[in-house]
Amino acid sequence: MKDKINVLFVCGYGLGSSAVAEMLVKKGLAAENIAAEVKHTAVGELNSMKDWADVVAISKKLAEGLKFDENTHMVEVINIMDGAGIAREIGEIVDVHFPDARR
Amino acid sequence: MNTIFNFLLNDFLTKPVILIGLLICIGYILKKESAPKVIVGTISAMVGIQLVIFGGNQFTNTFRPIVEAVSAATGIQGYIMDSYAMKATSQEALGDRFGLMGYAFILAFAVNLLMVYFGKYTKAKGVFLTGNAGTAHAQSVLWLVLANMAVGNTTAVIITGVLVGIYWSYSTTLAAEVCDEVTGGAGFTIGHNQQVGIWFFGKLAPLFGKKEQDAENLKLPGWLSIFNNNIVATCVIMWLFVGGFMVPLGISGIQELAGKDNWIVYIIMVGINFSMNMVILLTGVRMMCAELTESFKGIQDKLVPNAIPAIDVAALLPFSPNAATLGFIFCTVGTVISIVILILIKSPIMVLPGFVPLFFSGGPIGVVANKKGGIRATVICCTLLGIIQSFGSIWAINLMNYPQGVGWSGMFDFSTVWPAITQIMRWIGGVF
Repeated sequence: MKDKINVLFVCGYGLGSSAVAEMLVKKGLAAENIAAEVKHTAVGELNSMKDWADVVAISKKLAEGLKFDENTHMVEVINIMDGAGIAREIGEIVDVHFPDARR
Repeated sequence: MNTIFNFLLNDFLTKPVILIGLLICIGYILKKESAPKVIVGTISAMVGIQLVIFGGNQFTNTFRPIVEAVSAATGIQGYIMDSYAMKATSQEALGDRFGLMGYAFILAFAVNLLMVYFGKYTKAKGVFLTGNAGTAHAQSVLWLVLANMAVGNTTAVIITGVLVGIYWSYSTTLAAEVCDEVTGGAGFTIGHNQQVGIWFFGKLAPLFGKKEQDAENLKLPGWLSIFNNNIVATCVIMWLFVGGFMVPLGISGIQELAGKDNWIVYIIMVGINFSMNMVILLTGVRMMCAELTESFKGIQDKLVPNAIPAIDVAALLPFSPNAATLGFIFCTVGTVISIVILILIKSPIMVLPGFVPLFFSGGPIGVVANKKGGIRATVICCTLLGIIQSFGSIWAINLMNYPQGVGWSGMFDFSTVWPAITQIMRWIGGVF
């Protein structure tokens, strides 16, 4: 079983919101003792990184109409500044699908 | 000794890549980072900025032949309203001086931090954190200062740093109250290109509608979701607006531009190439900003921990997705109305909207208007926004003093606040 998850942050242009969310959630995940590698990108480039990502954290508006396969778990982000809250949601996914990632 | 000095001044420091790489390097060293981190960070930033320069040039190269052809055929000069167009134009206008924008950026950042540090007296609370927008401001205002005031490079950098730093401090603080209302107290404000617009429409919206008529109660058609994808959206918008712009050339005119390719293929490729260049630019900005933010974040955290972070405007979109979509649509409507008026009055300048001013001003301002005044306010405010952004851009383009530029920002603050500041600079510059 994986002991480190790949989390991909997605926003419109992969510059502002996703970068800030990545920075804040990285701290949140460390506080939750979850081992993760984090990256951020734009919606337009998401498809090329879908295989890498275990969890995709994407802004609620942009998630409209997107479909992921059963191996990619989506977290809908409403407040990008809520690092702890988003990390908690990721934690719930980890506990069900990637239990070895939580130390 | 002279040869070394010469090399430094003429060959080394005048290359933007070197100047900015040096900046990042110093930032990391001041932060006492390990040698590997300094090397990796510096080179990443340098490659990042080369991508930006390349993407920006390509953007210009795709659009310029079209502008020239239409200009020759109709006498109308076309300009793209888009953050990336503004980046490409100011980069080209600055030429060898482009590297100085890094120093203007750092000075603006320092001024912003200082003003918030003394917030008791200055009342400034917002710290501008959106690196990509910030660097665009630094380079664009640097060009505006150099173009409108007869000052040397160092003075220009100082004036730019101070003006941009003050703008960052106050525009972000102005928008803070309405942001808290929209987000339910999430504790951030907006640091982008339209935060004054957010404050403005936040005040205007209640006059136009009832906030109880919430846009989130509507059911919007699913196919609109293609506009969530930045690559697809840019391509489609470019097909529509640039394609429309080329109509006066007729099929033969377009075929001339197309050269060996079929004219239909050429039009398709215009949209595709725009999106491609945007991806190149984005990759570069991502790399560069990651380093810029990291190498200077430590300073910000230590000095002003109670400041309100001013972040990318897209942060507002999730709080009301339907309103964001409506905002985007009606901002486009307002822009199209403006274009029709410009055609009817036979304006020598035509503005073509890029995706960014439509989606990233229209969307968030739609969210704000909906929160304060419901659906009716969203429709009215965003249509008004499109009109203000378009005509404001005409004003801004006249003041940018670079008629061969490919375009300018098109976002609210750069269509209102900044042209006003530029006009004042021009009067001052004219006096001396």
